[in-house]
Amino acid sequence: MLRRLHHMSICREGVLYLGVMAFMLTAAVVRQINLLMVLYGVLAGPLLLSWRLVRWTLKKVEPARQAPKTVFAGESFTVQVSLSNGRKRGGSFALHVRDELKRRGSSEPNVAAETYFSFVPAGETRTATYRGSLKRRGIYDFQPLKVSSRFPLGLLKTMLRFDRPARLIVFPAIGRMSSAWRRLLTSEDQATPVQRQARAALDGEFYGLRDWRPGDGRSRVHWRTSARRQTLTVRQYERRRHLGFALVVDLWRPEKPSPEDLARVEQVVSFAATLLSEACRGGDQPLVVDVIAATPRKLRASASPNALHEALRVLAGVEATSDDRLSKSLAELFGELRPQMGAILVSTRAVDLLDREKFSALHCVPELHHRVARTPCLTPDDLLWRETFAGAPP
Amino acid sequence: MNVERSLRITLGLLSCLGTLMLAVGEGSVGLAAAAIVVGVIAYVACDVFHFALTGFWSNLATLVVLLLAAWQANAMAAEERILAMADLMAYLQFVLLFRAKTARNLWLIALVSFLQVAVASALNTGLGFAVALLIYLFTGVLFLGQFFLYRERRRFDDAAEAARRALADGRNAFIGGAQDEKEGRRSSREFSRRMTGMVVGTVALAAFFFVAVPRLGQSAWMTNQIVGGRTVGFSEQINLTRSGQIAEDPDIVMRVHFKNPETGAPFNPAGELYMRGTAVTRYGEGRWQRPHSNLISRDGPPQLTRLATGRGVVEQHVTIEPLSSSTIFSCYPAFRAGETSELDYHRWLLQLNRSERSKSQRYTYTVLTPAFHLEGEQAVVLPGEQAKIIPIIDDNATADRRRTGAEPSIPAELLKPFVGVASVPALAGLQAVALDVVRNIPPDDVYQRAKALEDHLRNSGGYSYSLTPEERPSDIDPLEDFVVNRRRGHCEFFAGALAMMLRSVDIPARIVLGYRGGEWNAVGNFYQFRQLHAHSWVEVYLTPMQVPLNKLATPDLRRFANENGAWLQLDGTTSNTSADLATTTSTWYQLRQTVDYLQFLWNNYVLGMDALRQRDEVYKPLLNNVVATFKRETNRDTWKARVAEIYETVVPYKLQNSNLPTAVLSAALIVLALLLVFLVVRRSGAPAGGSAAIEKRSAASSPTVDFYVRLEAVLGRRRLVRTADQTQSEFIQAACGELAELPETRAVAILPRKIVEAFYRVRFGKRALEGTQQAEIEQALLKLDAVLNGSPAKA
Repeated sequence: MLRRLHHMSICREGVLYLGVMAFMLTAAVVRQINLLMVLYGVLAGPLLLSWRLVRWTLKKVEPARQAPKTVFAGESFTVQVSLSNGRKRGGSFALHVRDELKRRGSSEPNVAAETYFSFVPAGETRTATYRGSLKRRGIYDFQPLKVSSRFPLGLLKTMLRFDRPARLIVFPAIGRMSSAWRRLLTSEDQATPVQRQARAALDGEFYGLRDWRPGDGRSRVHWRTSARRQTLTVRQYERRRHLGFALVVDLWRPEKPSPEDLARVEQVVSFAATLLSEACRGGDQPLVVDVIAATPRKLRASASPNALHEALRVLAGVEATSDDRLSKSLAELFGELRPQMGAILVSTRAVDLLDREKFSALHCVPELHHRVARTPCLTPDDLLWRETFAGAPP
Repeated sequence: MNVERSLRITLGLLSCLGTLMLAVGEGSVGLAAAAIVVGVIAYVACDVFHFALTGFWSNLATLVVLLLAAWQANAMAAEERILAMADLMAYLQFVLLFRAKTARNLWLIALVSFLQVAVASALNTGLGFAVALLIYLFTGVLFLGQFFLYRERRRFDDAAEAARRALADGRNAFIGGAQDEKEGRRSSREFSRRMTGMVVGTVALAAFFFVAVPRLGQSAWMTNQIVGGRTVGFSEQINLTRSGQIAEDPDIVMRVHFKNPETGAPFNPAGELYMRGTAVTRYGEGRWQRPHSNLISRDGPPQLTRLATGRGVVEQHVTIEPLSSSTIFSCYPAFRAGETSELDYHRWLLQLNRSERSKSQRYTYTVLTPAFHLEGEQAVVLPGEQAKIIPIIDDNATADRRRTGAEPSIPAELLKPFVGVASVPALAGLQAVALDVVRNIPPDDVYQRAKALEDHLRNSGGYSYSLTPEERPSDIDPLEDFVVNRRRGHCEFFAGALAMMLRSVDIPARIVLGYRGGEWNAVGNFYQFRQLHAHSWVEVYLTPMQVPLNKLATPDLRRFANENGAWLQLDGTTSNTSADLATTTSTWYQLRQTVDYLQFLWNNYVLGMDALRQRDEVYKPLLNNVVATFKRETNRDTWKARVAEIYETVVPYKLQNSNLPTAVLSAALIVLALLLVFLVVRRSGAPAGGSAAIEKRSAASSPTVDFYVRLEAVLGRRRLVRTADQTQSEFIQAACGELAELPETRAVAILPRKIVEAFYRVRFGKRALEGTQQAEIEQALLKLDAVLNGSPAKA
């Protein structure tokens, strides 16, 4: 832990105090009044002693931080700061510990937090916590801890900086998939072509028939068998989750994005995170995540908490790009996918995958052309988007 | 620790104390009482019952006090209007005490209190002010410390509240927290100790600054602290008809160092000292005044070369405070210390004067005197005692008489009012007493008659000393009344009575005004005279035939006396022996002496600190001390003596001359020296042990392991720092994971692992790297640094 004496500075009160001292000294010298000289000495003493005491207050004082490794955007979290006084004698009064978080790759001002320790006895440790939330996803670096004090009189301030590097990954905010989305996934008949495509991407192959159970949708009822058996019978499908699906996240933004453009990017990321969260909750199924961003990221894993964690880490750090790499990325991805594995594209912009001219690389290969035809594309402007996804609460 | 409550109490004390100090300086009992009453009421009303003046009422109250102060200022003289300003500050403080105790108001109250103390410092100069200032200092430092803690907590709470609002607005923010553990008495105790330490340190630093800051010119304040009474002090005339209680003024008048001029060694006189000032000869209507005489020499007292031998001469080095009179004091006879003198000297009055311009300043002068019997040769006096006979040194008179053959004449006014008359009705009783005392002594034995009269007043027991004025009838001469009726009075009555009694029996006499006794300061080797040591005694003129030459120590003095006669010093004032004993041994007296000494220090080294004193009392002694210490410590003989002393102390006497202790001592010194060398070398980091150990250590600290230090430096620039609980391997593993995450660093993510493996081989396997391996490591470091930091690794 690198520790450097940052600096000692005089506070505003110290400047005023110096002014009073200077006045006293001037009056004493000009008027030759010895008692004013005494008063000057009485004023000078505390200032000089403050200079020594304020340095001594931070001697052998070491801070430490306990912070979570990951949080979700908008989620409230706490960080515990502890101060240890390593001296054998003499406690420290009025210590401030300032912690800052800086988002990587961002020019936004640091988010600061300050804890206050009124008294840390010699040889002991005291703790304090600060709490808050970060609205934007990203990778945040904890800046060096700054311990400062102005004890005993607030005339001088000294600060020590402790390099205690740590990182906080703020995952995208997780919304919720609405019941409309789930019904869409389970109902073939009610689906629009797009929805059917979407459902098809998630549903699996016909597996067999079983008795109806509460919760089964009407779309799954096999009427012929039910009539024959005189009891409701439903189709049972091999869960596509065993086949998994591919999620393509297209984070495109204009060259000079407006705040609305950037907001769309966040919405798309949040959607992707929510979708993956739902998928990983379902159990073991292969997942492919392809993020088309400034730094393209690919993730291949089986749906699990670890995979979700990894995916969220990826989504936390990605930044949008103005390069249009969608066609190429899709061509590469679809070429790798198994035929049974469905795909979903979420994008910040309206995309017509059936545009042969734009996505010629996809349409020139029959297999890819078929896949493209049944790959749904969702954007924040879609009705389906609004019906099926509720963003994270503010 | 309930900071807020303690803060309010301390502030209340501070404000009361500041106003009290101001009130004492002004002499205003009302203001002092108001300070206490208002302070108590304000605390009860505001801090207990949470009352606070609203804006309107406080503004109204402020307006009222402004008008009150303006009215007061209007009624005062121009030079006193500063007191009205000071009172205004006190009134404003009263108003502020009833307002809500915000941080700003607390600070204002403290500031106003301090300003009152600043004004009080211009009015108060007594030792009591110093004590009050100490108490104020302690209270002030305590207040500042508590105020600081209060403001820090408030500042933190305000920041937390702002963060809470930011969070509610949906912005990124963190609400800071205060420490979880609550502290109680422990922190209060430590805080109090810390503040007390600050006060002690402040006093020491204040003393240092006060002494060290150079003065330009003189101090402007040297006030007389006794109010409303007549003071005992030197005056160039005596008025026996004045009434009023006499208070003893402890103000310092002068300090006298006596030295042997040849050796410079201090000389400590024996017996009581008489520092002579001037003489008064004319008496009338209860007043003694100086004669009309112009026998002033602008060249100062006579030169020492007038003495055939310099033996027995003592140097008087006198520092006299500013006085209203230009008269200065000395033991007589007095001689000039150098070739020239800036003093005026009255040959007949035996009076030395400084210039009128210098009488308002502290003045230092040196005068020589043979007045002390150093060797006691041919004199029936005690060695070291001041002579009671002062030969008259007047060359002009001597030359005149040699030319004319006349005898020394007796000035007529030394016998008035008995000149030409046998008796004076107004002093008939006095004369009768005098005649009764000397009736059995021959008239030509002037010395014995004078001594008898002195003894009558001093030792008969019929007269007592008192500073309490007596109610004396206005139709009787005060001296007559003193001798015949009310035989109680102070030294002026004793001296006046003795002089008159001497004159009534045809012995020429005059009164001398000066200082008697003084206080011996064993630390500084000086005598210190205060105003209360002012004294009057009598001088009798003895013709050359009447001088008892055996009471003069040296031939020179006898020669002078033989030429022009001499003055015989008589002191008829009785000493209050029993009272003296009681006072010198009582605890109260000891305490008073201590307070007097502190007062002396305060008057001289605080109030009276000026450029001259600073130079003489601070800079010069300090410099001399430093130089003397340096010379002493660098003197070979000093060290030889010390070693010899240690040798004699350590080694038994019987062995001191044998070779054994020398051998043992030599051996011990050699061992000590070797140990010292070993410690120094070890501390400087040179390796101990043989060459193998050196090589081994070199391997560990050689550049082959330095590469790991460089690796950590490279990674550190990417904010990858090893924590205390991580091994090198764990740290590198974590770092590699970090690097593998990012595409731009993925390619070099493996390099740190290779470097740390090499480190472990060297550090713990104790195997040095070969040349190719070192080159590989170097390349890896360079590549890593280029990728991570964009710059080559520095060796």
